[in-house]
Amino acid sequence: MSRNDQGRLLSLALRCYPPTWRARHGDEARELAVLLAQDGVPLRSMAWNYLKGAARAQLVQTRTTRRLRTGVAALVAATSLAAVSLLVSIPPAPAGAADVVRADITSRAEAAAELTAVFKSHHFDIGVKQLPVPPSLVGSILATKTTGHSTGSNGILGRITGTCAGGAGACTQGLLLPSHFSGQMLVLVGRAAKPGEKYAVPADVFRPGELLAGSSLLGRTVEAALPVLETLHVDVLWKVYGNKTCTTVVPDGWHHLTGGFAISAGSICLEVTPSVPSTTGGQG
Amino acid sequence: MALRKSEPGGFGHDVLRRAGDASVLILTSLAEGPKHGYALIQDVRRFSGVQLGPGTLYGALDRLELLGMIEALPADARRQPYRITSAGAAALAEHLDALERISSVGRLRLGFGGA
Repeated sequence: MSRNDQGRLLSLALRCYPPTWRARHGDEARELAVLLAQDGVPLRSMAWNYLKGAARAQLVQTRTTRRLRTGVAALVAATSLAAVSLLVSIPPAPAGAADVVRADITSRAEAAAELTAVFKSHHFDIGVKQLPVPPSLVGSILATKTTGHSTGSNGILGRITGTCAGGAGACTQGLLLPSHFSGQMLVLVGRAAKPGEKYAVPADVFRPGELLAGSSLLGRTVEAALPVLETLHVDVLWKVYGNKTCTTVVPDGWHHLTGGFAISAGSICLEVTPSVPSTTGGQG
Repeated sequence: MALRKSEPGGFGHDVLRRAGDASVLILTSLAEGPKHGYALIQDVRRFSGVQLGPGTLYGALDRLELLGMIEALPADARRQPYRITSAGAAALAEHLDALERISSVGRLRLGFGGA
């Protein structure tokens, strides 16, 4: 099997994961494979390992769906508990409901204001900082930074997970905190970027809510993609498989699109892999 | 007979006993400090000789995050670093204690078994 074939197998394996997984880990998983390949790890073994991981991830989803479909009350109750534990990850020994403060985001445009209002009303020393992000991450919690002591009752009890803007994957849409929280924390929240402003966090440009969502350009050749890209009026950079940086140099038309990420409101970087067109007979 | 949580000398509150080796290796690595996926794989290989597959790594990371034992930090470019939580550190300590007990008994018995 040629290196190109192995690269295609790797891309195929990553596509076997559920969309939520791809939205969250897809970019890093591709980069990780490149780095490991440079370390001498065979692409074929990585592809196989990703395939096994994808099967497990899909199996978890299937099991959850089956549970929800059963009419047995006990099973439904158990599944509900499982669903709750999936949506809200709470460490061992959670506090009682009365001891928990719930800070929800109900309006993506007002996310920072909503969280600030909850924190202030409970006299928590928690700041909220907004960062420019791609459309799918607007109005979601990107991360929390502890700026003081955070162990025990001063830590976050859980995160409330919901869909991202545009329907992509899973985003953090709220926090559960102990009512007697006395630590110091900074919550980073995504906001819409101004024209040309660089994103603080990149996002897969093909995920729902992003520029190329539903474009079906993934897997197509550069030659086929260029006319579509021209209609979008954005700066397109290119990153050939194995390279570390995005450049303005347009790869040869027979390269295939394997992914891409948004850099700013007006620019994207598309990843391509050099693969021999099938019309030439391929390799090995 | 398998040791149960309630039995004296059992696994106690060792919630990692069924989490898989990858989870334990990852928590051990993160106990040193936050790391992203590639750094985790390199560190695990260094201290244990185990080459974690990338699919195995992400599966374990997702499970540990769901259990509240690790948490994601702000992403650096496309690399997502993770750090161990206080719950994860406590679970790891408990698990290592359990392994220590088994290891002691095993060594003792091998010693007396004569080989």
